[in-house]
Amino acid sequence: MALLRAGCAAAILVVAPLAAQNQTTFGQAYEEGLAAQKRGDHAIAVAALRRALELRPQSSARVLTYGNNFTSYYPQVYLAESLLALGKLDEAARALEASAKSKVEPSSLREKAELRLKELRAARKPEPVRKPEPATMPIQAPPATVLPAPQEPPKKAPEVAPKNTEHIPVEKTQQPSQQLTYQDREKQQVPATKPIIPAASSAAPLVSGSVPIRETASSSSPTPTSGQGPLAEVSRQPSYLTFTLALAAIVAALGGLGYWIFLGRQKRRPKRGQINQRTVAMSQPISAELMSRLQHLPTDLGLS
Amino acid sequence: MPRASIKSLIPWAFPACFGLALPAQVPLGLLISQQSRTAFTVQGAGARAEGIGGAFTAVADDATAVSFNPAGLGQLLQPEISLVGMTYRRELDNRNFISTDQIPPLNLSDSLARDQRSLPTFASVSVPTKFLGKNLVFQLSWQRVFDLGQDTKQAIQETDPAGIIPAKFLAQHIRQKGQVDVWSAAAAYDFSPRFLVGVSFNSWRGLWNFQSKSDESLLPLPNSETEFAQIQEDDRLQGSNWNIGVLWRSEMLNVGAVYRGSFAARFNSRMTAQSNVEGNQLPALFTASYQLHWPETYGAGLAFRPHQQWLFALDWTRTRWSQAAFIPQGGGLDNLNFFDLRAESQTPDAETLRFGMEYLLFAGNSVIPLRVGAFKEPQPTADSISGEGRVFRGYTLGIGWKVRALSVDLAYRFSQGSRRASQFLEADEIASGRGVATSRGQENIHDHRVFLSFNFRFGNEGANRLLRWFFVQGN
Repeated sequence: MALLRAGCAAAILVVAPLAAQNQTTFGQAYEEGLAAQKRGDHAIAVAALRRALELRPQSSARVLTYGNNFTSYYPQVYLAESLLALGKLDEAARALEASAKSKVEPSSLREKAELRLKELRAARKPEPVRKPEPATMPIQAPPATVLPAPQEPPKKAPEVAPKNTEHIPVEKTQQPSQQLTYQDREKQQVPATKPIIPAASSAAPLVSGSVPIRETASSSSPTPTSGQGPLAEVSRQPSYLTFTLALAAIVAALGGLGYWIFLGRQKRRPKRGQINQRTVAMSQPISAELMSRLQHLPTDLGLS
Repeated sequence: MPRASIKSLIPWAFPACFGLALPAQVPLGLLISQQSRTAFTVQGAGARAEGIGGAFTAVADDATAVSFNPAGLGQLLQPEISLVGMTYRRELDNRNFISTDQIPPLNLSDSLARDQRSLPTFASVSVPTKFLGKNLVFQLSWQRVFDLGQDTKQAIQETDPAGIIPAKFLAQHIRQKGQVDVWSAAAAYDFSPRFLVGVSFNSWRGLWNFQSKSDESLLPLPNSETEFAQIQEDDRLQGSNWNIGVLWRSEMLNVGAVYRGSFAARFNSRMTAQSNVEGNQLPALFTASYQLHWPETYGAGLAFRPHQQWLFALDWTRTRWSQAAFIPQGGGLDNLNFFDLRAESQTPDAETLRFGMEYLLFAGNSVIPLRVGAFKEPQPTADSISGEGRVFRGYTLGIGWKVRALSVDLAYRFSQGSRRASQFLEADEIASGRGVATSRGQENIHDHRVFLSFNFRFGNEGANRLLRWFFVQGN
């Protein structure tokens, strides 16, 4: 029994952190990313494609997702497209570079994105570099679509000032924005929102159907807060507690089931040809009625 | 038949008739139908799985997953429907049989009974959705777990090697129609990229009708009188249980386990019998309404994918058929095992082993899987005289074609089993009502099956639109 308990505890320790991973398979993340991009939810697309890249960094012309289902897997170039739509030109350039390095991703898509990148860079007017100041961002409530909450306070204002400090115009359906610092925003637990209009909004969107988007530094990445260790990061996952408890319950149930199957039943296993006494007991309430029916049956049928 | 062969059979042929007789009234059709019952294995359905020998517990990544391991459903990312059908051809070859109701035993000529059928075996609809950001998949399915169809005829001559007893002609026609179906509602959830859990609720519905007619005539036929024993039986089985499955997956290795719970099934049987044999002991009418303890099945599997084009899979399952017995209710069937109708049952637990591999070929946009597998599949039957179980060993071959959302899979399965067995052949042994078969010899069964599966994936958008329309808003 002690061994069984120890096994269950070990299983919980091993399985719970696994369950706490708020990640899908690369195939699932990739498909979610492409679907979000098609809908014009580029921030979601970026998060999903980055998750796919975490799980499978290598691009491939044909990769198995599940079953016998294969898909082409070009995360870098699609990531670049969504980053361009978000106005994150430097990150898009890096993604395009990685796409070129992969030697697998289609050059036609990449060339199109590179052209777009050039246009956006040309359209963006050079602005003087501002001094780093406390970052502020407008709040847009209610959000049209909820994005992964920004978990990283700005360490530094980036070199390109508009990316970090500019104020975002309010969309038609949204309430007037408020100027809040990141600290205020975190206190109020207001999620980042989309869409965000890019600085170079005069240019046409890269991806058809996409909404012109302007980025903030906070919404660029779903990476968790750093500096507090991996355990803190894991515990910050919203579903950690739920899944850990659920997995603990399941593992305990499976342990009990295993005990019941392999140990408990051996003790009370009836000999071949005999019936478990518990099932006998279960059948008692109806046996009397059936007995009486069966006893009278031959007479009723004229057999006796 | 050579005398040497008869001598080799005698040691197990005669301890028979004493102490093994059945209670006075039992559904004898259950025993007689068992003579050619060859597919009583709790197993999933699908040509893809059959192609790899049925080793699918740790793979389970298409819409047939629920029948192997419900946790595997959690791997589906798009809605799928699947249809599976099967054609089988069975040959029951009886050789070197002797009739032991007289001493010395009489020779029986060899006989070959063939049976062939085509039938649907599985259909399902699976819909994945999201819950707390993870994949949650629902499925409704129907599976024909046991096809109990049978239509076999045997014509046999019984002769005395010494030439003293007149020769007889034995004819037997067994006809059974029916099945045991399972309707399932399943759900699976991927708790993490590696760990999936699935459950299914299963409703079992069994209904079959058995008819047998055994004739016995002195040769030459035209002017002789014919003794016959005729049995007709209707059986019904109903119950429900839960299955639970878990799957741990990684890029190269999957480990799966499944538990199919036991349950108490309602079993109803109605048998009528007729015979003109002198001293006929068969009841004109026998009815029984019992609870039947249906045993649990559990199993585990490993799947190894060293490369995305290669898959190796191994499965082990165990069904505790020795525990399949009528729950005591103060009647004649109390504690009797479902398969051999004996309290001291010889019915063995069935442990199956399966192994298979798959290689994927690419041809343009199509994927062509090639599959091969092997298996060992014991049946829940042990001969009442020889004590030997019916164990099938076989191999499978499979091929498929997948293009875009459509998969078509084809599998061929061959199995065979041999044992020393007894049969109810003669009208007088059936009419005696003892339930002891007096004809014994060598039984060889060859079983050929061809499976065909269609699997179609839909886009998520369509399914989501449909669900939204159904549950949320009317447009």
